[in-house]
Amino acid sequence: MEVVVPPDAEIIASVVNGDIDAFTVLVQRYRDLCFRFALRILGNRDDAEEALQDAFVRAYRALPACRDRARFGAWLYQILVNECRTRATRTARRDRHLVDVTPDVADPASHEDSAVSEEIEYALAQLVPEQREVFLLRYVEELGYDEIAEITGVGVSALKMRAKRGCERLRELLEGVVR
Amino acid sequence: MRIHSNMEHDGDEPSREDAEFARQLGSILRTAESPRLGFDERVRAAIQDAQRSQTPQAAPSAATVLGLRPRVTPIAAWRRRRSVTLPPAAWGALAAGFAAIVSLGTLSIARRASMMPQAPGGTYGVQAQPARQAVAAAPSHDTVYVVRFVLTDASARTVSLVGDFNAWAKRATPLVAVKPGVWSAQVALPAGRHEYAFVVDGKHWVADPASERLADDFDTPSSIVTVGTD
Repeated sequence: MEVVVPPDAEIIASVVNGDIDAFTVLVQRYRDLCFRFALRILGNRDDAEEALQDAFVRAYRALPACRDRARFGAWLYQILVNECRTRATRTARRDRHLVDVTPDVADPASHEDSAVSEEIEYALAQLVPEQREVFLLRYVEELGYDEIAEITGVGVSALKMRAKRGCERLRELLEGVVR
Repeated sequence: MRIHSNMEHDGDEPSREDAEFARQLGSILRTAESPRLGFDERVRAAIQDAQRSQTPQAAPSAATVLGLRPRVTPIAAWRRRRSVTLPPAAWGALAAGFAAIVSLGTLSIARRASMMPQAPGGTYGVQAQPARQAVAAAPSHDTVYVVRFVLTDASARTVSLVGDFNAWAKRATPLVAVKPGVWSAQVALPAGRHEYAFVVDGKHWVADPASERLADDFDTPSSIVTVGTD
């Protein structure tokens, strides 16, 4: 059996012509990657899911204005980054930066991994939002600086400076935890 | 606290050691994460809710849905609009009767070509002409405004009008070449503020340089026309 994966542009054309079901394909295609970013940025699953849901709704409604349909993923990231920034500002007073990590398995190795992850999440939450954003896009999502600049609207030089300061801060915070 | 000397690395990028450390953290954080079950259905329901909450003919523009709150200042051109009073039954006749439209005011607006966004292979200029069609008044009144949209582009092969009045569908309102390089379409608009843009050759999204311009978060340009709000 041959599985044909339609390109984003083709799916978007269907959506713009009124096929809402086609949009579900895009949701499924980008859901997990985007959710991981939102989760790391916002620090909890409820906010991350809400941000991602709103980002998808906004993307759907703005789809006719998506000029480069082959780069829908980057365009969606732009919307998500903005959504996360808005929510992060709104919830800044709430002290909910830690991801609610619940180990699925209770074996010691898994527990140790979770503990390390929690330490990293905690350290990540200590970064200023601009540094956290570029760290996640660069070192977790492994995007190039040019792509990050396109997504965030921040110049490459400024991004590199933020990355530098963020990396230095993380190393200070996690010295001895991660080797 | 560790202090990195500028001698350790080149410029303002993370040092090699810091970057390696960051990559290590990244690999730990690059675990699969998924929203809870039912997320796709919740997104779909939210989209349907959003669609239901829209007015019948209005799909919001990118600028609107992305949360921008554009400042609306009607330009002089559109203050010269003419209103038409139509009974509801005349809407159909209006749609079919554009050929008989008589233009009333004439307005030319020239803007420098440098103001044009993404104008591949051509320069653009715009003339906007508010117009009206005289229709006998009826006891039930709906005021509409017949607005002529004109784009001058000698290199365009097709031009269409997209806006919140046609759900941003690029095939809904094609412009007609009324003379070489001059594209025109007339559209009946209800009173209010409308956002629109031109699509040249089916792919180049162009704001109207003769009108107030918006740009959404991604620099997608659109324009504003405000009619019937004196």
